[in-house]
Amino acid sequence: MSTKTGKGKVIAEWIFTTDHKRVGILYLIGSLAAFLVAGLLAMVIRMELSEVGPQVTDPNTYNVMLYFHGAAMILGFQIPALTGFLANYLIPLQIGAKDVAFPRLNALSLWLFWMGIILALLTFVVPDPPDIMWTGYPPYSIISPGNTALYASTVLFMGFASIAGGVNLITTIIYMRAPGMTWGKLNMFVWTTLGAFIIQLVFVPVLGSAVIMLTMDKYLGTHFFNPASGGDVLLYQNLFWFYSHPAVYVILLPVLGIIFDITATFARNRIFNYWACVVGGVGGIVLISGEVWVHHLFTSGMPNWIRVGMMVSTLLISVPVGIMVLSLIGTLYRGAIEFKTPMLYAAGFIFLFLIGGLTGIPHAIASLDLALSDTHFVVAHFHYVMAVSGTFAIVGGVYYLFPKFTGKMYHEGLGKIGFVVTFIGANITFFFMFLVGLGGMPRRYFDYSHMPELQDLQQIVTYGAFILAAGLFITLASWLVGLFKGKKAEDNPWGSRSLEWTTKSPPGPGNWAEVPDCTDYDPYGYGEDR
Amino acid sequence: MSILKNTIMAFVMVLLMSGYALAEYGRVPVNTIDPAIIEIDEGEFLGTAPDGATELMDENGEIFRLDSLYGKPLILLLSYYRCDGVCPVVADDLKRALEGTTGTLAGLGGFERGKDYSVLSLSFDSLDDISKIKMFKKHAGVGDEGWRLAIFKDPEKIQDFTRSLGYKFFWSERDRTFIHPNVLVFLSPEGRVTRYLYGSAMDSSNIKIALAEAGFGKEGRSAKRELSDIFLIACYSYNYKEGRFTPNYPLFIASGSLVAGFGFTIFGIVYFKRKKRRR
Amino acid sequence: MFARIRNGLVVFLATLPFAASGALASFGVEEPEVEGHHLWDVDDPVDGFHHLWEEVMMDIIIIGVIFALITLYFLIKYRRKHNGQEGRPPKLSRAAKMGWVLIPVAIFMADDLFLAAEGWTLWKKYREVPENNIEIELESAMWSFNFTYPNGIETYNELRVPAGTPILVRMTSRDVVHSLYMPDFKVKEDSMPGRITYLWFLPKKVGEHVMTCAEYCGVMHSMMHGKVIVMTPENYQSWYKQEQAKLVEGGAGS
Repeated sequence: MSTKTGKGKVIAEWIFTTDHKRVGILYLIGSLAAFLVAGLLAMVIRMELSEVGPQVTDPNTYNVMLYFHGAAMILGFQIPALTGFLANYLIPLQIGAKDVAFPRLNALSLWLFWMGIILALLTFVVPDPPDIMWTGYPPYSIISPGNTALYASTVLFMGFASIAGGVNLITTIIYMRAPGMTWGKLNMFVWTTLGAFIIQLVFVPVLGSAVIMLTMDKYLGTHFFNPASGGDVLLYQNLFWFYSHPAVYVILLPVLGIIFDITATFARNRIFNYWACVVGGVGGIVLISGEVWVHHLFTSGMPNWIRVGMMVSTLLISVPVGIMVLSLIGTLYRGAIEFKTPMLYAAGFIFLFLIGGLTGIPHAIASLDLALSDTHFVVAHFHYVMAVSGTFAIVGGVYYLFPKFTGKMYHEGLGKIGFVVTFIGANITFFFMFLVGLGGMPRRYFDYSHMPELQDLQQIVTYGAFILAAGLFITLASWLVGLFKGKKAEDNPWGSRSLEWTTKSPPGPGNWAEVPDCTDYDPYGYGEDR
Repeated sequence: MSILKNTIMAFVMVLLMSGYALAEYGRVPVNTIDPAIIEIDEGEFLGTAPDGATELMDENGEIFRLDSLYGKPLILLLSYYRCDGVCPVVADDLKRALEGTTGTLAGLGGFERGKDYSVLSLSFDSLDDISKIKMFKKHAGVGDEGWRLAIFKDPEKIQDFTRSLGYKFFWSERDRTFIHPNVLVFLSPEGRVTRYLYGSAMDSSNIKIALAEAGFGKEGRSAKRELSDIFLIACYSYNYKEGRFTPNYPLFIASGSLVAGFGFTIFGIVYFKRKKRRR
Repeated sequence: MFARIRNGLVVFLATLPFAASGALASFGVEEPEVEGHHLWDVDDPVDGFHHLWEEVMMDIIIIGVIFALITLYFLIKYRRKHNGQEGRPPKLSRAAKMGWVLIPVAIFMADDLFLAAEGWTLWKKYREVPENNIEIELESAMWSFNFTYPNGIETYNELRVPAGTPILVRMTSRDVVHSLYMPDFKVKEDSMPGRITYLWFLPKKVGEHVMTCAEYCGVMHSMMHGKVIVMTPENYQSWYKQEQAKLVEGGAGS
């Protein structure tokens, strides 16, 4: 390889890289590609729903688009952007490691992820694209003309990628911390990501086995989920949500982590009640995450005793989440908040997450969920809590780290305009979607000719979606302008005390010339008394 | 589905008829009856409730309502007492199954007849009377604690009752016998059909799981009973094709992978800790 | 610490009326309509639904508004006034740290358990079917709802029911998972092959209501819908008898 020169060499270097920063950036590129495609499809979906009757697509295409939107946004964008890009890029820098524990495993994880992205994109190439939604419930996924194997292999590749990433980063966090870096000096992002990876490691195999059995049912004629032969259709739903609900916390935890770091940096303030947040918040979420999945099946004829149990555990998840939100708001208290773009996203996140989190409460109550589940109300709820809050955290995180990983400053003006437009668009889109859901509109509907009274609301939602998209394009512009024309960034443009800002921007190979000594280090060591 | 069911029924009927054929060898052409005509459409009739107000009469002439037996799972065995061929055999099979001597899961797992469930043999033959019950009881040796034998008080109600269970039977003049399915009907404590279990699956294991299924989650049960029922219901699922309960393999596979997930995590931490210490 | 808790309490009380009025204004739930000349002793879960819904909406709006106002206040009050300004993080004593965990935990848990208890009471109402119901079988299939009445009448995508009688729908599916959703009756239940599920509802007012499939079931998922037609008991009886007569006639003819 060393004989090659010029562009070829650079490309080869990037493809075969084992450097955690490059792996992280390649994760970011892949996940943004998934976000772009799935986001554009969301626009088509919204256009389709803007009026009663078929508008721009047909039901088949629409279902394929919905499938891709869901699968790509969750498996291809949110999880990789948080546990791939942010975790890979930030964690070694925040704990003072030269690289991750197993750089080659990291590269493997990246390749698996890209394979997954390519497989997911094959949806638009194969003659029988999957139309089974990202949940893939049997028996439909078994008798569907769509390609269930494509879905299963996408899930498996993404799953293996996150298992590899998880093993790697957990080991890194436990064994690669710089001298003097005690557990109490870890950034919130490190803690939350540790929690997220533990959830991933424990639960991904369950989903993996479920989709493998599903594929065998469809192509090899087994009867794992066929009721005629002793299978149980409900079991797949249980197995699916047994992973996929914890997956929500795999997204939520790093999201909260990066928001904490941004807030502390820009408020020049300590994390309010750090240990409560770590033990009660992260620990509590990890513990409860595996015992709430049945709230997805409140209307599926599960036995009563399990429904009441899961109703209580679901409501109780508000306790650790509440502690973390309190700490987040407490971090603002007596701070010195500077409203740079990342901080705007962090501040916006609090409001969006409040709406998203609190509208989860009616869903948690089984008797109210009877009317709400599988309607647009739940769609709005999880878009607020995952899609919008999550994306705000990811976008905020990219803004926050932009000077670090590019060495340039993004365009501040465009960034702020982008934030305002995105915030307004997101709220219009998803707030009115709540009302659509209360009107009785079920999710995954191509048309709603029997509910024409919802058309006005649906149109508002569509307008909101376009504003949201405009905001995101402005954000992209702010990054591109920064990347090509931005002024050179300082090593620590935000004046952060956190370890990742002590390196050069962008950091060279090995991150630091020598491993930093963290005996007197405190990532949140702000305060005038210091 | 219907092909599968036909297969089950064909199987049942062949068993049934072959016994009969052996007895009456040379006189009855056995292959002229299509088993599909007495097939129960399980999809349609699972969950139905037969009329609980139906009045029945036992061998002492005591009249009681069907719903007086509700409150715990009920196994309903429809047959007729004049029958000298397969009915006593089926009753005996059931008796031995309830004693817990057949099937792979040993015993009935704490299900006690009379306390945790009851059995009702009911005749659909309007010509059966008290003396026939007594004879049958003696002949088959059944009918002790928690097992009642009864006939309909009002023979007019028979057709409505059996129809509400999807149970079909008819008199074959040539064979001088009733053609009917050999099936156990499991009723929940509220009197809804929770399972049909055919003669070929009449062993302790299947009956135990079907009883667990029928009574699960109902009021007034001990925590121990409830726990063992959860275990049974989760680990076995009803196989409509084979007409019996079969292990719920996907659950085992998924649990295995969950254990693997935990294992990876713990193994990873321990392994690298050791490795680090060695360094 | 006590000063802080006191201040918190003041803020809490100050925002309470604001939040409550906001809640009422934006989420006023329409009263369930009851027809005067029908008397029934059935406890309709829909009434409970509206009641609990209002309660939960109040609850989340109060929490949300409090948190949002505090956040907004902090964001404005503690903005950076000059370059190089640092935060003045409060020094929390051990007791304060514990207090800031235990008190919110207690409040959240009390709220959660209160809602869970309310929710459970209502849930039992939803699942315990009243006596004297009409039991109708539903077999859903791609892509229609097929109902069978006790006397054997079959209807497709149309559920005719008399006002004032609880309707029990017992369901299964012929092929894939479907879900019967009736937005006006605030009820939904999946129908699956190989399993029996049920729901019940109480039609009160004569009129037409939407029923629709809420579980993705393939290409025509959004076209799988029908009508719940609530009729007066007299009209229902005459329809029921008429259809039955047709059925007998048809049966005799064939």
